[in-house]
Amino acid sequence: MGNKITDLKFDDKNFNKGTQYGKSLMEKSLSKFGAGRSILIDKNNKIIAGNKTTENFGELGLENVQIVDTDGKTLIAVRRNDIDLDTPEGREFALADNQTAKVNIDFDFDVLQDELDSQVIEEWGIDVGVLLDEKFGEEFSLKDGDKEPFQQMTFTLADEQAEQIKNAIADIKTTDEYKYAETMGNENSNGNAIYLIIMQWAEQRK
Amino acid sequence: MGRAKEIIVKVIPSKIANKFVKKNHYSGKVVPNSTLHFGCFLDGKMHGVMSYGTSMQKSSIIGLVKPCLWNEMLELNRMAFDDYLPKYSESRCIAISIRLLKKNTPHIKWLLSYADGCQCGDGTIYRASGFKLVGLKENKTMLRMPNGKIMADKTLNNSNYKKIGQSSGYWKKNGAKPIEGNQLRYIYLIDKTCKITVPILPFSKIDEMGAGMYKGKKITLAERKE
Repeated sequence: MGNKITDLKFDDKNFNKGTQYGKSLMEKSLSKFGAGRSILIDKNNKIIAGNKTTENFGELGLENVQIVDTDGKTLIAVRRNDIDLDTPEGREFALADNQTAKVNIDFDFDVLQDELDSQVIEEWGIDVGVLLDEKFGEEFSLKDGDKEPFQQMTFTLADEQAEQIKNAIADIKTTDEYKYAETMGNENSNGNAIYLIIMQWAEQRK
Repeated sequence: MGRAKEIIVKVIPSKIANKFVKKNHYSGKVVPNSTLHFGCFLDGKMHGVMSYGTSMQKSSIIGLVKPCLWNEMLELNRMAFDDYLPKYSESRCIAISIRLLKKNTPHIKWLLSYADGCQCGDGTIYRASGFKLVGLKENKTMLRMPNGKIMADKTLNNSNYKKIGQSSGYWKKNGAKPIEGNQLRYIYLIDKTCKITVPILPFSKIDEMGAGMYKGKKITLAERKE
C-alpha cells in the first residue's frame, strides 16, 4: 500500500539547516534523476534523515512514498530499475547523489547543543567551538612584586654521580653543621645541604 | 568600529585557549609561558583568543621599562582570531584586555609583544592599539628546517634537542636557514609614569627597513594607506 509525503512528519529539531547551494543541487538532481537513496524515518513516521530531500521532493510536485519497515538488521537497498551505473547517466547520478549530500550540510549548533552533550557531538567529529558561558568571568589575579630570592637549578648527572650526590646530601643532613647552618630563608632541605657541602669544599681550598 | 563593539571579552581556561590557538594561529603552536587567557566572543561564540604571560627571556627585557619589578610586566604571547570577527576586532579586544588588566592587576605597568614580520605581519594592530615600536631587526632566529618546518632556534637549543645533538648550530650547518623577514618589538605603557629605556622608533622605520608585511604578504605601510 503506497503512502503519501503528507504521511511523513518533519523533524522540528533538525540539526541540518541545509545550504542554498545544496538546495539548488538537490533540486537539479531530483529533477534530472528522480529520487535516489532512501530517507530514514522513525516508528512515528518522523524523519530522522532526509528532511531536506523530502522537502525538495514535495516542492517538485512529487508525492508518492513507499515505506519499508525494518529493525536495523537488514540493509534496505533501493533498486532503480531504470538506471545502469556503468553508463554516463549512472555515473553522473552517483556524483550528484554524493555531492548534493556533501554540500547540503550546515549544522545548527544551537539545536545540536540543546539536544546533545558536547562530548557526544565531538565523538562524531563535529567541533562546535566554545560558547559564551556564565562560568567565564572577568576577574583574575597575577603575582605581584619582585622576583623571589630563590632559584631552581637543573643539572644532568650520570647515574653514578647522582648516587654519590644523594649519599652526600643524606650524610650531611645527619650532622650538627647542617642543623645549625645558615639557610638564608631557604626551606628546601636538599638545597641547604648542597650549599653546606659546597661551603665546606670552599673552606678546604683556602 | 561596527560590530567589533559587540565583542565580549572573558577570562577562559588555558585548555580552551590552547585548543583554539593551535587551530587558528598561523604557527599552530601555543606559548607554554602563557598564564592568562582571554576569549573573544561574538554572537555567543568564541572567535578569538589573546594569551598573556611572562617573557621567555625576562632577565634581558625587564629593563626595557623603568621602574619595573619582576612581576610588573606581561607579554602578549599569542593573538589568534578567526575570520568571523569583523574589522577592528583585534584592537578592540586588546583595549578591553588592557582595561581588565588595569582593574584586576593594577601592578602590571607595561606590555610587550612581538610582531612576526617574516610570516604574519608588521604589527598593524599593535600600532592601532597605541603600542610603541622599540625594536626592528632582521630575523635570524626563526629557521626554515630542511623538511620545510619552521622552528625557533631557542626551541632547538633546549635540552631535548641538544641531548640528541640537534641544536640550532647543528641544523644551521645542515640546511636550516633563517626565514626572510623581520621581527618587530612593541611596548605598551599601562602606567604612563614609567619610562621606556630604549629608543622609540618611528613607524616610518618599517618602510625604511623594507619590513612591511600584512597578512603574510610583503607590503609597505605607504602602499596600505593608498
